[in-house]
Amino acid sequence: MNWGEAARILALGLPNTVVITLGAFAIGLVLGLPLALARLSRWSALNGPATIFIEIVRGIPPLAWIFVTFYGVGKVVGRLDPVFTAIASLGFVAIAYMAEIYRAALQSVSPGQLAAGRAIGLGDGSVLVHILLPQAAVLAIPSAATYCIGLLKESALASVIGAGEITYRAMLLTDRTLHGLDVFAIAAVLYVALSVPLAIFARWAGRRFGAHFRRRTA
Amino acid sequence: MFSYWAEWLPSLLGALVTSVTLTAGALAIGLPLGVLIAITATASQRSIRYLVIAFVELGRGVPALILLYFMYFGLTQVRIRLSDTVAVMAALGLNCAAYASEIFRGALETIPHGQWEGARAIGLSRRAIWTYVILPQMQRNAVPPIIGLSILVFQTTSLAMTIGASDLMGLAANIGSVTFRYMSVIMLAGLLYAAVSIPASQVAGVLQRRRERRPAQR
Repeated sequence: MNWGEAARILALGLPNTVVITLGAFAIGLVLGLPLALARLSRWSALNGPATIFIEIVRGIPPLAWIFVTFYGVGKVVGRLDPVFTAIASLGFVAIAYMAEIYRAALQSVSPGQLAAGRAIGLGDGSVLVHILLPQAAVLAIPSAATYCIGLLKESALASVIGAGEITYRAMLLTDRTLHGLDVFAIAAVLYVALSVPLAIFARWAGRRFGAHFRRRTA
Repeated sequence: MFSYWAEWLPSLLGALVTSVTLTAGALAIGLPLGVLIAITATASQRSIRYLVIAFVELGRGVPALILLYFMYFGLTQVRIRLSDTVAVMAALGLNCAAYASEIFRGALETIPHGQWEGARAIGLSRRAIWTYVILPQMQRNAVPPIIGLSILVFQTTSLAMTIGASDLMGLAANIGSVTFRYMSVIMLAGLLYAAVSIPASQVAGVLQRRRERRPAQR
């Protein structure tokens, strides 16, 4: 079996893997924040449903969400595109996970910052927008990058509904060549190669912003 | 949608037991291996340390699904044929070992250096220091994150369905393909996953908070 040829065939799935990962991450990045704010809200009408939503979404395996979307929603609106289904369902799960990451970040902003903002006469909204969010966003970067690596690996689940990403192509190639050992090893290398830049960024961000944060609150 | 749930529930509960068994098997491989890796990572030889880091990064960077396919489809290339149960336990066990080793390494770092020096000063052997001084202290720091990891492993056993196992997700997909009620049966299976995951994560949360309130008596 020709490794170069196999790698070339698997790499055809690379764009879909990247699109699914980044698409789902973008959904979580944007919609996770309002959910985190709802979770932290003083009103139980907001934080109750938000908490339940987060717990249930995280309590059910992502594979189940993919199937529910593909077969359930697909039954109502007609056959869904597998890549779209993967982005939508993994993105849906990402909202809950990102909300928890934002929540942890918001809660680790020093309470003195809040008090100081109020003391100089800022309202709740201004404190949130000008003081809490900018600091929390920076604090959330390392965990968010780590979560993005997790999503990269979860994008492999899209292969079960036939999205033509790396794992799906590896399955097809294994069926054809019966060289699963080589094929899945190459696929593993591709995933690691994709995750390395993210991992380096996460580690660097953890050091950089972690230290930044510790210095300021010490 | 709900009228069939009573009919499916007994067999799905049986499959839930299968999923829990798969989880237990994966943890039985992953946790001891994780401790071993964490201990090995403290080795003074640089070559051993790099080997350990490479294994951990590989275990964390490669999707669990690829590891599973590697074990189940890949190994047949060298005439090793694993049963679906063994393949799932081995793949998830290795995956779990990589994550667990990071948790144990973190727990190890929180143990003050004086503990080592004290133990050495009273003449304990290296083995005795690990068994009587270090590991018991690591345990209390590691338990809450290990519960979190176990929940993750439990949810990941849902991948077993992709190789045709009759775990919770596998059986649900089977029922779905016979009855064409995918959405309904997978929702029920999802709720069963949540019924195990959510209480377990509450327990981990309580243990974590209790540990933070009452730091180690030294």
